Amino acid sequence: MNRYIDFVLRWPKLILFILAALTIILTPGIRQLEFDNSVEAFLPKDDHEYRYYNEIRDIYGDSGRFLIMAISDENLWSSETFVELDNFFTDLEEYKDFDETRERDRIERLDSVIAGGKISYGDLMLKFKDDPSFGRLLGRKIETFRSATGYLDRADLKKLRKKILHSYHLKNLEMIDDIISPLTAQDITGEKDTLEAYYLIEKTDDDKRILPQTKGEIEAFRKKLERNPAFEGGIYSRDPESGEITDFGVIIKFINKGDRNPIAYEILEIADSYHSFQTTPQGMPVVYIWINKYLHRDLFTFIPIVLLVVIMVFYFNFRSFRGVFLPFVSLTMGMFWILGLMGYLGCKITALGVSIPVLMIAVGSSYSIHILNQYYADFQMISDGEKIDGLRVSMTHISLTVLLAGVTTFIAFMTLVTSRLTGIREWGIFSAIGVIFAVFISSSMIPAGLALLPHKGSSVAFRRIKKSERVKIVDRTIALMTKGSVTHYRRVIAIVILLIIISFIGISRLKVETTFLSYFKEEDPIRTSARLIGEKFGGTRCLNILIDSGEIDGVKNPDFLMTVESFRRWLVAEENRDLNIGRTDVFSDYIKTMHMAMNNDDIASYKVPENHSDIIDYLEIYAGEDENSDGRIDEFEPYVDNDFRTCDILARLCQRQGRPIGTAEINHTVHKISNYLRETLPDNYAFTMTGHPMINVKLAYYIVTGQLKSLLLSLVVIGIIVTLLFYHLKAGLLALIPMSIAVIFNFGIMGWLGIKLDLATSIIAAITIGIGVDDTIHFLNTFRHNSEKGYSIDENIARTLAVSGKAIIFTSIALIFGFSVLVTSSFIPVILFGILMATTMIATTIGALLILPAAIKITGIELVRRKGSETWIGRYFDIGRLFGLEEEN
Amino acid sequence: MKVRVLLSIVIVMFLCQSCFALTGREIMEKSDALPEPQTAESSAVMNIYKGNRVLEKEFEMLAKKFENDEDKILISFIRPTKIKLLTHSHTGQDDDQWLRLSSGKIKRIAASDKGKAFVNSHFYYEDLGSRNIDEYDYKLLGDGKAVGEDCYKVEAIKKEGTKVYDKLILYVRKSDYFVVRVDFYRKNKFHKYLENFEIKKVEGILTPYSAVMALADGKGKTELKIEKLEYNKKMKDSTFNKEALR
Repeated sequence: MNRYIDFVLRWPKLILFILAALTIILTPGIRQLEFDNSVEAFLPKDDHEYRYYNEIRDIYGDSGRFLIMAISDENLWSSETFVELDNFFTDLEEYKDFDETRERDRIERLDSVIAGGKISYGDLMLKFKDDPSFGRLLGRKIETFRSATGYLDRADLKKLRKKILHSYHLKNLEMIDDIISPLTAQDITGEKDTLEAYYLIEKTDDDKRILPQTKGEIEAFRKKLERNPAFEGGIYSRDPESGEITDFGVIIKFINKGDRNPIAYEILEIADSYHSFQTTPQGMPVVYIWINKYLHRDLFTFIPIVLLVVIMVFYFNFRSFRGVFLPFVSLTMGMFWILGLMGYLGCKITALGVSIPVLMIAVGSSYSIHILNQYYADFQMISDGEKIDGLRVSMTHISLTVLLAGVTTFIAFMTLVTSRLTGIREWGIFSAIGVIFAVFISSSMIPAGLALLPHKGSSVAFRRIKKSERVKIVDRTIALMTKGSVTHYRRVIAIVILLIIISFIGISRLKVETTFLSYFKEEDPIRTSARLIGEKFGGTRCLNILIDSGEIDGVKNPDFLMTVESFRRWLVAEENRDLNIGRTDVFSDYIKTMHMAMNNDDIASYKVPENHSDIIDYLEIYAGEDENSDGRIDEFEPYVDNDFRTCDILARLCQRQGRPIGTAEINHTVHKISNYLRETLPDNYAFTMTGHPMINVKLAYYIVTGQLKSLLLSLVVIGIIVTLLFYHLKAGLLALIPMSIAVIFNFGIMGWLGIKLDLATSIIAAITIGIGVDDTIHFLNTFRHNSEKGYSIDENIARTLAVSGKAIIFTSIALIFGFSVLVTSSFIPVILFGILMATTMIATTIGALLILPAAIKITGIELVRRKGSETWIGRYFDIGRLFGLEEEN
Repeated sequence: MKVRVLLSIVIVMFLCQSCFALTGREIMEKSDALPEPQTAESSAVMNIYKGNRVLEKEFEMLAKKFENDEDKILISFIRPTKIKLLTHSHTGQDDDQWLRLSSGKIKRIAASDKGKAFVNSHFYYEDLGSRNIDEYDYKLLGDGKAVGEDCYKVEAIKKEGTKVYDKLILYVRKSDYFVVRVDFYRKNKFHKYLENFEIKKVEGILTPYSAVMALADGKGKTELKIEKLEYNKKMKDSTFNKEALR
């Protein structure tokens, strides 16, 4: 370290050049950063439940992750609304069936218009009057970057072409597998002994919908819709009081490959462009889009606010240009480096990863404060001699402490690599690397900057402040801590023990939460729309309950289908509201519909037929398409495997007990269903369950186990490191006290306040230990140094607190304010994370300044300085020398 | 979801006669003019290759030509189901169709859905119906080879109407103008193809005893094999009455 600081002070310009060059190289990587908000971003790919979930998706399609939309309007039943709805579905269908010739022709026509140069919006629309759906696409895209009036200049047209090409590629991907709605649904009727399959809205030979126009036609359409019981709560919903149909339901299913986000964005853009009816979109693809929007917003909100907060902390601390400028540039650089590196390495920002820049700023500012504090503390010494020599002494000393703090934080963050959750693992790795960046930059940038800047002026101001307001508050706090730990140490320890007991009771109440909807605030549109879709259409998230008949074609057996029917009735029964199942979709719906049609549409025949041969016959004459030729009609794919052996019951979750469905509720549902099926299914049948909600439950399991693992590991590793640094096992054990208490306290608060353990809050323990250990090391190092001078324990504690207390308090202030900024987040877990981190930082500070000295006092432990080689630890692991601790102070 | 009567799996496999014409249209006219039987009685087996399964279906078929170019066809499935399908096809108007389930229940089937699969095979009802030569415009693309035979390669583009396919490429055997292969295009994409094999002359009528309809992407195919065939056998008109389904 000495040599490095020497080098920095000798070649400050070179150092600044290298830092600037690295910043220039790494920063463009930020532009490559992408967001990933899926559960898959976290779950280990080799997890057997996740693999099974993927296998099931391969067989049945991604049936659980559809986009659902409620369409409502007071004029829903008018011919005008039907015209608009027809346009809406025509726009959507273009992303289902790609017509290459038509689309190429459109692009060519657009190119020829663009070649003509500047054009008014109205004229552009006129050019495509004969192709209204393309005209609407142009209008939508224009409105994404400017108003739909006036002239489009060359730049506008270039932008428009780019957006149209993007849509062209999306259409080409044919990501939409199916669109189920009143305007696209098919049904079968058997009235008057005539079997007729028909679209609820028939089409002309050239594939245009024949829309109901007169009152009579609209009424006839309503009757068609109401005829099939399977449609209610599926493609329409009624007002519970009046019984009137108030909403149409649209379900858009996607193919099981590729990124759904772009197509979901496009669908929402289409929906937003219609103003004659209201659309309420929901479903996992929509939730993901909202998470993405909020991630962006958070990132752009957090960073400026956190930077502003730290600038203020720097200013109030140092009251000088260099005191603000140097640390500000250091931590900004650190943030750019880590984000740029992530971008270059192709890592995506998860809901958790959004906290990395804030963490980097908080940690970076803490290191910068340490270094600058030292500079101002040694200001007179530097002024008295040769500037560079003075700086060398001052910077070497503090850089060692910063390096040590950085290494311990790095290790604590790195313990997160033991987590099975990819997102947490990546967070740990990048935060750890970020810490190293912060250490490197702050111990290079600030000394180099100080070497170049003239050594004058601000020390007076600094000392003046030091002697006035700062001293008043900080010294009073330190005095209080000294009194507490020296005089009232028994009381302090008693209170701590009491708090630990209370915290443990709180921990026993701690719950885990991993459902993405819980990220959003109660009144967030995404939560309100989820409730609305739940009430009207039975929910958005699907459990896949798979019942195996035990034989090929067993699903065609009426006994099997009747068992399935009785099970699905149980799922939504009033007495099972606690299951929170709002709707089930099952293969037998098709058989029941056919059976009703074969019996003159008698509603009493809407049931599974008793004869096996009837079911076989229905399946033979059910002449649907089987586009992928896997042996199943496309419509059957979500519900049955291609051997017709296993039936997939899609059970939609919706809150039926007036409170949101979280991980605990899903867990309850899964257990209750499993118990019921275990007891009631015939021996030759078997069942399994999977689906997106189950993956959330698995995520919760990994969070809890990962939490315990990383917690224990980081405590053990930090304990060992501190032991090796000080050549004292006692030091290692003492170091664990404030951090352990802070962690226990944090979990206790969470338990008592009902804050759930989720992806964000699960990393608090690692951060607490990683950052909290800095204060402890700082204290122990000074304490040991004083031990040699023959002070009594009381005096030693008082002197130690007087020396190291200030730095600890100021760095903690930066961290506390830095983390507090997270309360501006759109996500509840991130807000709670910010609050808890701030609270925990206070706890670790009190831990280091009060509890640790109180523990020293009560145990009478003394850390008398020993040479590394004098101890067995030091002989083999002399890392104290590596960090230059022997020379410190 | 509709059941439309199978007009004639055999007859449909196209007809033949010799000629010297060289335009696409003329070649197809020659092919269209190949002799047809008055009645046909056959039994056939269909092997449908889908996913990892082969579904076997067996059926018997009776067909008879009536006045005014009306065809009546009765298909009786033997396995896996006992469904019967009766079709009265008329020129210039919708076919009449009836379905008899294994349980004996009879239903009239209202209209046809030509683009849907016939009993879950790779044949669409459109493939099994008779083709009107005027529904397409033809262009001779040149010579080609199909099922090992020298052929004329004729492109047929759909005129306005409700045909399922936009375009066909027909391979017409040079020796007798019998169509041995058809490539089907849907929404401008090569969708599937039909190949006729074991083409024999039965009572002067060219008849493929085996045909394969395969998807262009190789994901599945349906093999059709004629096991027994008799042309121009005497058949009672009443065999084709709706009441006979009972």
